[in-house]
Amino acid sequence: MSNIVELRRNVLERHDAVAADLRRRFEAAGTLAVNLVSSPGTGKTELLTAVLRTLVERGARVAALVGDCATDNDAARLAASGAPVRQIVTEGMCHLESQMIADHLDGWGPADAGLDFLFVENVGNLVCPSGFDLGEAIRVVLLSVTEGEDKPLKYPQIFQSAELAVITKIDLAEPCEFDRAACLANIAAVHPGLGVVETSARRPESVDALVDRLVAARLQFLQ
Amino acid sequence: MHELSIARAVVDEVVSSATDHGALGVERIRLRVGRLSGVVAGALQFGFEIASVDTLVAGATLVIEDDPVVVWCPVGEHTLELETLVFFCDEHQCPTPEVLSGKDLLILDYEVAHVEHR
Repeated sequence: MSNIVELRRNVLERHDAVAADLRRRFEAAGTLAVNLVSSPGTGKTELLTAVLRTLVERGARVAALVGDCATDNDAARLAASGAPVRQIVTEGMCHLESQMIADHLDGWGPADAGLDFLFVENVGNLVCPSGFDLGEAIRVVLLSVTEGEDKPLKYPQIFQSAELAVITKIDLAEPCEFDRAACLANIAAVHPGLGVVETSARRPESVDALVDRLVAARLQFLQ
Repeated sequence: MHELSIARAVVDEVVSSATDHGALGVERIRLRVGRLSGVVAGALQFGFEIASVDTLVAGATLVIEDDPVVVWCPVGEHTLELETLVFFCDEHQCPTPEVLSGKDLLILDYEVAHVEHR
């Protein structure tokens, strides 16, 4: 005898339930959670260090969780900003999952004390993190001027799932012959209306502009 | 290769349900996977073969259906199925930011090989 059992169940239901719990927790605490995704080498850590430092200087309560396959190098770099940082070593896994976020927040002093912003630096990868909700309020996808303007077309899912795109290393735009208009058109092709901020960790005014945007996003989030 | 994680989640869900149903084996598992879910069907098949070893669902056929990417054209006021992930209506020459489907990552059903009679 053979029969069919209907499930109609989301494959990531358990992950999504943990993410929903985290989202409720962040909302209750007034914490804007930001999930940063990009390919390796885009400059996530460098830019995030500058963003954290700026927010610390402005008196915001900030912290970061950083995912890495094998090392804690990025946590050490981020900690130079003065913000508390906790490393998540994924042991080869190519993306972060909501349970890892929950496990690393539990009993962590800075998170318990209350945060205005929590940044999660995902593992460098433009494919795997796209389907995994971490309970974030905004997902930020980064691409650098050194990577090629067609990156959004090659990885449309991650750009489609993002709330903001950040172009990094704009100080290198000229030597890389970066075609800004083509890049913006490609972002718009895979996610019409997606906001884009152009930054360089070496240009404080561009970091300020990104931080202003995040502060505005938090005010909107609190309403 | 996040498809291995996804495959493990599929195996866990079906094993759990099939165990509850007293199944001795599973013939076939039907999934619906949209292109916006970020999962590649071929990689998921491969991941499933690894994840299902020595489980109740070992040897089951994984049937993966597509969840087409459908968007809304705000100018022509019609739905549109996208062939490529460029969110644009060629007919009305406008962007189509509103996504109606294509994100599914669902286990639809599975076919039990034998059921124990209690």
